Amino acid sequence: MLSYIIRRVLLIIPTLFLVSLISFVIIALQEHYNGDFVTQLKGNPRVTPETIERYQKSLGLDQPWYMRYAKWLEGIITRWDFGYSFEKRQPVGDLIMQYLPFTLLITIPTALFVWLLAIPIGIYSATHQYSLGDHSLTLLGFIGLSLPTFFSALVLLFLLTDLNYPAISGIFSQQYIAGSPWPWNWSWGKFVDFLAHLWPAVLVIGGASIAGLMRVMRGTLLDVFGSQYVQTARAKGLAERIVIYKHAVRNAINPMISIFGQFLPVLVSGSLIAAQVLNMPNLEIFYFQSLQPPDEYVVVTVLLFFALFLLVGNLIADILLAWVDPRVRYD
Amino acid sequence: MNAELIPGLAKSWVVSPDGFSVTLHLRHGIKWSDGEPFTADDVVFTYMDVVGNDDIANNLRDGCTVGDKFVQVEKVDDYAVKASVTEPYRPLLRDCIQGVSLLPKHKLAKYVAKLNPGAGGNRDAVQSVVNNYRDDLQKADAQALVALDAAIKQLAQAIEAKNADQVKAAVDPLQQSLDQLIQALAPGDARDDLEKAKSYADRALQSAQANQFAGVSPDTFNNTWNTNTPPEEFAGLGPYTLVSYQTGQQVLLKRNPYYWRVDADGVQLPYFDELAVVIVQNIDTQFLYFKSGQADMYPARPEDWAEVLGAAQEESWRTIKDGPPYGNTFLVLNQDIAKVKPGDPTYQALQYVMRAKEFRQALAYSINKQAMSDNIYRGLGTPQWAWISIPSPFYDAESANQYPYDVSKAKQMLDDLGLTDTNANGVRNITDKFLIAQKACNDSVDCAQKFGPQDQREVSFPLATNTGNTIREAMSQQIEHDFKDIGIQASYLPQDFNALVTGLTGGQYGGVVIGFTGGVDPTGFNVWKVDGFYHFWRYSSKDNPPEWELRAQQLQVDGSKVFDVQEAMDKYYKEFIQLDSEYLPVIYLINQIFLYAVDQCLENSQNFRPQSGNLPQWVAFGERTWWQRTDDCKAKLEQKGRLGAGPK
Repeated sequence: MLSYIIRRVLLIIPTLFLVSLISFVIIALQEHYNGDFVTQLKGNPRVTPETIERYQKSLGLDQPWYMRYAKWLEGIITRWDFGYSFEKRQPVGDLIMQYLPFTLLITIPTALFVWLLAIPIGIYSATHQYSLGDHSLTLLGFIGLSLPTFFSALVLLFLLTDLNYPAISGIFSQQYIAGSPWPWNWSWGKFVDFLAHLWPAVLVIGGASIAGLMRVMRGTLLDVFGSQYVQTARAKGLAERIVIYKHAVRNAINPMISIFGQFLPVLVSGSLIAAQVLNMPNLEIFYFQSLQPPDEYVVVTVLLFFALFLLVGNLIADILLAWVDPRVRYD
Repeated sequence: MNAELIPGLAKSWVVSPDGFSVTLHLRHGIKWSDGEPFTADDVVFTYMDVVGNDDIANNLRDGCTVGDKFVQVEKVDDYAVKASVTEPYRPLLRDCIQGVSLLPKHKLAKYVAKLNPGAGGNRDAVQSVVNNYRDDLQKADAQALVALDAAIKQLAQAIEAKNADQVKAAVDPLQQSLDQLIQALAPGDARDDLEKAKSYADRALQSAQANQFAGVSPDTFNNTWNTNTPPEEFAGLGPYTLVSYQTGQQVLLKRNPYYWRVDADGVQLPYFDELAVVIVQNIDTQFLYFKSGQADMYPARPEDWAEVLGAAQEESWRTIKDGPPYGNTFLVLNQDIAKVKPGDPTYQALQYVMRAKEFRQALAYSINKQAMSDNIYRGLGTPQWAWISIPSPFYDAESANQYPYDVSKAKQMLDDLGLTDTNANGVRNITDKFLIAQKACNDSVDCAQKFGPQDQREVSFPLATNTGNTIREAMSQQIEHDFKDIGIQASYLPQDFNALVTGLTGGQYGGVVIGFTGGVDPTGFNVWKVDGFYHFWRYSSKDNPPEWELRAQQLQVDGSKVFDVQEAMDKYYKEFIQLDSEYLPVIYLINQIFLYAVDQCLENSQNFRPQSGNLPQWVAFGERTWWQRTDDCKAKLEQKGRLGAGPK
């Protein structure tokens, strides 16, 4: 098991390298056809071509893309330096650390909300198949799934504004914005204020993913109910509670764990639109703003980061799977 | 209109009778926000050591460059400076003297390489040149590159040891390797920069001999003062100073205790102790912030106008109409369109159409400006008839040819030109009659041979604008529709902004709807000189300019030398506007009116005009309009629970 984990961790490195190379090529292609970071200056007739050239040079954009890529890579390997943001004039690493806490502050509660709700509802729906409760919960879930997040976010904001709710969007109220978002700079008031801002975001972003998970849970559990060992367990006269939780759910949970591996990156990339409407200054927004005009080191580093999220998520899911299900073994 | 120059930091200025220099007299006793006195040294530093410094990339230099020469700013005494140029140039006053924000010498001089000669900084500069061209150098002379790297390393050690003799011992082989590489390289950027590296190496040696070993690298300045800089490092002359910047959330400003301006009663400005600029991405959310009282001002989109104006009374909002702003929005047709598809005979013929001024005039008549204004600006758009911005004292609608909406006139003009629909498919064709009249071909046989069969030569071209700009998108859609009514096919396709300007400045487009920001001064050499980088409607004018373009260029150049507005208008700009609007290098559309909704608790906002006052919104907050809250409002805000740590 340990050697398996080590092997998987080592495999992450070449994968990330490939991800960064492909991303950089795509950015370079976009720059080739649509212009690079300094092209935006061309929209202003007061700026001369000489000035544009000078900027290009000062940002290193006069070099061919492979030189820029090599330099960027060299910086990471030798100095743990992820390059420089053209727009913000700060190291990309620092910037990511400024935006990351907001992403974590939203995704972790959202993930908890979704999983702690979806699994019990899935189990309830399976055990009460075709009942009124099953139908109503499924309906609710599908409403969440089918409403576009920007729309549900806006509707929620309008409702809250009408009710004079004090914390309609953003992550903190104005008096709590100052200070670092990392957990070592918090007070009780700030935490309460955060919770007041958090729940609409969790509801909007999480509400979209509950239905899918709940249906998977329901489906696999119904499959398991049909299998012979469940019949046997019932025939032995075991209590229904034990049949469900000890036998059926334990077997039905495997696909859910595999899904968990892909769930974190989906939450990160899927919350872009809701984050924009709800005014969350998170990593996705930062990434989105860096795409146009292309702030290349930011884009490629954030993509690298998302890929790392996915790979680590999958690794954790595989380890969990082995832990939950004794039949799964890696060699 | 706020078009006159108002005395600020300079209490007065005198233009020399020959127009070759301006002497500015600075106000006495002004202090930077950290308490240091502001003097002529700061002005000279800003212009000569920063804006005009070749090491520092910036786009202010262009406004201060007259006839390829950067303006020379020199100190007369502690409170007077003189700016001299090599030819009289009126825009200097606004683009260069008004347009450059002054920088504190006492804070920033230490980051400017030029003022901090030192061996270390110059060594870094050599290193960065070599790193930039490592590939080319490797190819040119690998051996010399190895020697060069060794010499740079040796130099670094010598500087570390603070030993001038060792520095000399390192610089000599360094210069030799550079010379070898320069000889091996073809002329170009790499070679020019290596020449610079040689001068850096010289400077390194000189500094070392003068016992200056540290020094500053030439690229240091561009990276000082960024979003990470501690607020106390900044010093400015404006009404507010920075307290904190929370990435993506807000900029918090507090009053500058040393701000020099006072109100009519002698009270020092600004009135606010704090100003929080909250960053809100989504415009719908911005509106909600305003409605819920979390923001005090909202620049309304046209689609919000009905709601804002309707609710203003009840919600006690003050609404302020502002505009038209400086700038223009226009449709440009590519008069070099043949180059877009070199092998296509229809595009060769289309170029003759684009170049016919009657064609452009007919299109100008066919655009329904009233409908455009009604649909996009709820009836409050204003048509513009010339390049010069409407609020500018140099704009004169009376001198311009105007093109009111008139479909039958447009159709008649196109018929007269010989652009008729020969194959009855709803799109006009470029007939033999038209081409012969334009002297493109001699007879039907010749025309068919050169441009293909008449029935296939349709007046059809692509029309683009940038995606995401809903106003330009709506304009383009209407233009597509209006042109269809007169039998012209403009196929609208939005493009990414970067792609659009790349196409525009590369002459690779059919028609483009775009806008430029403008200023008070009508001078635009980049656009109006026939070899200008932004002469985008007809780049071929560089080699073969039409008569009228030469005249327009002449008027631009001569007009820019005259300082008196009325004299400049009478002698040059009225004729310029007349030419511009007759030949229509671009077809002017309508211009926006802005609507701001402001919480009535903010007093004094009657004169808030960030658009036509030509000031960015948040500067206007501090600079031109002084707002304060009345006691009633304070009570109301306390009720809402908003008078805590927020703005007072």
